[in-house]
Amino acid sequence: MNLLLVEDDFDAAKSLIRGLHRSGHEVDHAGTGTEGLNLARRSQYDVLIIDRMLPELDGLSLLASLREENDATPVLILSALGEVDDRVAGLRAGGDDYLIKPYAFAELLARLEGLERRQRVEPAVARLQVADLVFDRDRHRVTRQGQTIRLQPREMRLLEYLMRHAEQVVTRAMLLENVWDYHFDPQTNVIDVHISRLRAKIDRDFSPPLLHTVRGAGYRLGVSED
Amino acid sequence: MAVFFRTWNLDRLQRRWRNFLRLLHTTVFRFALAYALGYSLIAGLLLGGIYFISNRFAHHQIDQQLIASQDVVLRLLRDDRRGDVRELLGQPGRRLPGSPLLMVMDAHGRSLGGSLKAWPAGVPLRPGFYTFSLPAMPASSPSFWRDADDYLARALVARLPHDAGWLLIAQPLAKVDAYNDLIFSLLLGALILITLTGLAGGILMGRGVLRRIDAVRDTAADIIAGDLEQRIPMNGRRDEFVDLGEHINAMLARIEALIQGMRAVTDNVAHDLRSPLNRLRSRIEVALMEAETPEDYRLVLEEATLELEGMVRTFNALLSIAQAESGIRRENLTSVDLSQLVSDLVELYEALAEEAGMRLRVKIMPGVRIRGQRELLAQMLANLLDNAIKYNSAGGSIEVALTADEACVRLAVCDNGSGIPPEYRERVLERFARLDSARATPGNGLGLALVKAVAQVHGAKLVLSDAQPGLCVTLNFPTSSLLEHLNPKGAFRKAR
Ligand SMILES: Nc1ncnc2c1ncn2[C@@H]1O[C@H](COP(=O)(O)OP(=O)(O)OP(=O)(O)O)[C@@H](O)[C@H]1O
Ligand SMILES: [Mg+2]
Repeated sequence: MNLLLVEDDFDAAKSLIRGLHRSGHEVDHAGTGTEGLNLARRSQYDVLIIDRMLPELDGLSLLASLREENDATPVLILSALGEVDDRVAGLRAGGDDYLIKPYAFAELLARLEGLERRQRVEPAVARLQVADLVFDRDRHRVTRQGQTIRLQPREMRLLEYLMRHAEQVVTRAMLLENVWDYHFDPQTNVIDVHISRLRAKIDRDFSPPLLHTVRGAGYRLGVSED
Repeated sequence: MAVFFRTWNLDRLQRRWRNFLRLLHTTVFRFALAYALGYSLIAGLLLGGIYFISNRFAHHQIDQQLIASQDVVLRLLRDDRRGDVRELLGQPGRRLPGSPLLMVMDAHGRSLGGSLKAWPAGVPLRPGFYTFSLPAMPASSPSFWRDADDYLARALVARLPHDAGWLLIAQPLAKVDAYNDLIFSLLLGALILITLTGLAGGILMGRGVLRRIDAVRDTAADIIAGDLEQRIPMNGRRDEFVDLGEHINAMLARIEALIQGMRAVTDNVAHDLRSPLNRLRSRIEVALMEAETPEDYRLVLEEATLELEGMVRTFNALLSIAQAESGIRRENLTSVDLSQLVSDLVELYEALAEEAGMRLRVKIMPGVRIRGQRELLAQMLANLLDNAIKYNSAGGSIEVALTADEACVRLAVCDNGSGIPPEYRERVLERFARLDSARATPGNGLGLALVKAVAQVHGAKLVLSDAQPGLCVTLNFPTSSLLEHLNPKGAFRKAR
């Protein structure tokens, strides 16, 4: 991915850029809001990562300027302000996702990929397929190797989300946000139980396994191991 | 020594003077002064009027007496044309009212007798009333307020029958004036008394008020200086000052409790973050000394990350509580479908409960809505469900019920686990409070603190009760006027 990071904390930016490089992404860095705006105007990025508190031009104003110029590049807002109200403000200003500091790098990476994917995959697509697993939204049917799998409505939504983000790490917080539509941090492993139930239905009687646990990050639905 | 004594004295004098000046500036004193002046003015007008009228009356009286005397004398003279007036009047039974001065004169200006030796200067030979100066002061009652008046007399002049001459009857005014003077002195005295009483009253009241206010001021000064335990002394009669003082004291008590609460929270937070920080630090330091292979380092770093994650969790939970406590901004209040929210969360936790071998039963009245903040409400219910599962054992059951009537919306989460003894039900709502029996289960003791904060900001009543066995947590949301419980500015307001 081709990324732009607008972040004034130089140390934080440095390690973030290193991590993103290692994960195979190109990163441009801007230390101020105006510099970020100039860079964003000049070239095309896949995702913009914008810190909320920036010198010269704050993150939300920068974002608002871009949206005014009809720049629809997906934006991930980073913020030390974690209240629900702040998140709402960030999304209202045109942000596509909101991540609160301190965050886990894996979470950031997963969300970046999610944002990029959202750009590429058509949301209206009714038939999703990963290997021999097929999801037919119109007919509310899931099959694997031609056999119908019975799923609860919520399990359907969970599977649909995982399939839309196939071959990509999805974190627990992302699942809670996108499948259940709640933003709090569940103290316990509520999501894990739902995943293992889904796994029992789509993986137990078939091989190879498709729903993988990614240590320290989340889950990934896909053919490849690792 | 002497110098010291003098300066001390001067100091005292200065202080007294300053206090006196303060007194003059009190509202009460100013009021009293204004009242005294007002009263004096009114009293002055009133007393002046009385003085004027009584003076007029006295003069009128004299004139009447003079007319009466004149009648008597003229009648006598008509009967006995040549007679000496004095002689005439000397006869028994002929007394003139007020025993006036007399003078009778023939047409040629010769005195025909009377108590006056000569026709007074300045009195014309024409009938009528006149006022003239007496040649010498007649012996009269001594008066305090002597002026030119004392030498004046009132005269009535009349023509004798057949143009035979003139008659003058006069009455010295000294007596009247003495009487007037007395009244005037009395009135003036009363006026001075009223003014002085007003002033004294003002000073007394002002001092009384100042004393009460100084008590408040001194307490405030002590508190500003850092002694939060100071209270306004309460003694004496019940009056508006005692009432005000009681309110201020109640406010101070509340503030002190809040500050102590905050201190306790900060201490708790510091302590609770200190232990994981300490673990983190020693782990890293030991690794730096002992770790040899990259594997060793990796292991330590992974552990450290886990530790950090836990700390971030605690931190976030604390922030959520603080956020709920600080209130919800009005624009972020929405109508929340509580029925939907409860069924969402039950569905989310159902899998967990079943995995733990428990039954989760629900009874949800459809379409129940309240005004509030969805995320906070969800987080609150998540904590309750988490507890109900965590402090229960396999085979246990959990019941969630949402009901509503006109008066309130009731949400209850009950389990048949270990429960909380009654004496701890208040305490577990505080941050970091955990029962000893919970030491083995993971947790920070922040869940119920969040529940309490969210309940409060939504104006809901939170009750922990015995489910025999187990714990029942009930929330009563007022259906109407929920908005009134939320301060328009979003500031946290305690539900009463
Ligand atoms: N349903 C329950 N049954 C029995 N005891 C309970 C129940 N809920 C809470 N408690 C007791 O109250 C204490 C405080 O609960 P609280 O939810 O605030 O903290 P926690 O569950 O220990 O930690 P956290 O919620 O932060 O993970 C618990 O430690 C437990 O001892
Ligand atoms: Mg808890």
